[in-house]
Amino acid sequence: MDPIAESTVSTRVPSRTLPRTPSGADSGTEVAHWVRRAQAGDLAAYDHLVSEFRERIYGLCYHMTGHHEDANDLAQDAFVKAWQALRNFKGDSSFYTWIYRIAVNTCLNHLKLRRNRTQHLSLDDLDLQPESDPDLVALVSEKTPRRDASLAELQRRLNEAMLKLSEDHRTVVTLHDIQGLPHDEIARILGINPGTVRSRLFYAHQQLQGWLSDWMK
Amino acid sequence: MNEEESNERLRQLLRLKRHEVPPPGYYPRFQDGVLGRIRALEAERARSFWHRWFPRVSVGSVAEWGRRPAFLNVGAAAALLAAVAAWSWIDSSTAVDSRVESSGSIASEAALPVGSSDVDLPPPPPVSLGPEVAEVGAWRTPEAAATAAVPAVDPAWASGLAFPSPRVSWSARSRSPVPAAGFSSTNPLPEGLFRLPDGAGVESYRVRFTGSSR
Repeated sequence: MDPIAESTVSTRVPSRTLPRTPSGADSGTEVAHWVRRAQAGDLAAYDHLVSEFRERIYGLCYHMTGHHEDANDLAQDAFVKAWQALRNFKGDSSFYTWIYRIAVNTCLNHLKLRRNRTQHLSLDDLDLQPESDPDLVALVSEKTPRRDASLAELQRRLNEAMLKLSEDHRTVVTLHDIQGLPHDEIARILGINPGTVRSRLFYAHQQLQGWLSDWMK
Repeated sequence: MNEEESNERLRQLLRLKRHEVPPPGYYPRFQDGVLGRIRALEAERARSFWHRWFPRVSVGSVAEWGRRPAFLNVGAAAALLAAVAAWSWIDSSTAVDSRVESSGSIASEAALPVGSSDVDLPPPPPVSLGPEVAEVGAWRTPEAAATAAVPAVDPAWASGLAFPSPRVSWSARSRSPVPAAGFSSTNPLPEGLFRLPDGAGVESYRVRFTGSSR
């Protein structure tokens, strides 16, 4: 029996599988403290900021490009650009939003330059920890080699489908469906209104369902 | 499957991508890479001024350039010019406005009245003080002033002049300027040095003609 077809619908997603988002007064205050020190030229403080946001920024770049090496370069570029532009950060938005915006623009500029070239995948491995994610538990319930082959095939097809999307649609899918950001936050990052975010998501979902119809059953 | 179920199914598939992670140990290396690039950027910025104007010159090559004969000569010439310019500026800004040549003679300035453009006087001839007064500023003590020779004036030159009675203005401490003996309004000293009698207590001084009585 197809383990994927047997999967149960679950709306609960453990926080471990989602990128950590800054929340609460303590986290925001701590980040603001590091930002102030980094703006004064304290590289050690900026090191803390890189440590705080590196997974999310790398993940954004990886899901936008489907290529590990490109994601590495783009994520590093984003952090270096953020350091150079740090004195221009006025605090009108959160540092989180601000650095996400830099990373998104870095990725979009890269993708625009590569538009005419064939996009190859260079995928990261799947870190399968079924105990932490009920959705993944359903997907890997069948412990046979066929499961691994199925998951590898699914991963490849997923990333190919993502690359078929336009940059704008791929961005909203990455930020909302993969990184779990709310519509309002995505709108602030992209500088568009939340309605545009929802319409882009709707259109992208329609396209992905068509390309992944084999796994929609 | 209705639309809502399809959407949920799709989100479930997309959530699989959250489990795509880089190899172990990646993130510390990534962070080191970021900081290394930033440090290199800061170091480059520190050198950027030099590189912007001399893009072919590196810090290490400057020392090598300094050893080249052409640059040594140019550098020496530039240093010499700077020294001459500085000496000229210092010399022109001293209180005594005479220059002493190596032979010990004084090339005096023209005896022009200060503040007056009516009198047009010829420049006085050079006078020789002798080797014992070979340098301006040697009259630093009353003893030196007492033993210094009084400059002699060429009578031929002096005879062609008709000087007004000089009204002498002092910049020295003494309030009673006493011209050297033997000088009068028709045989004045050129603008230059006066020798004061002993005990005047003045180390050095200058004389200017402040106007013409004509």
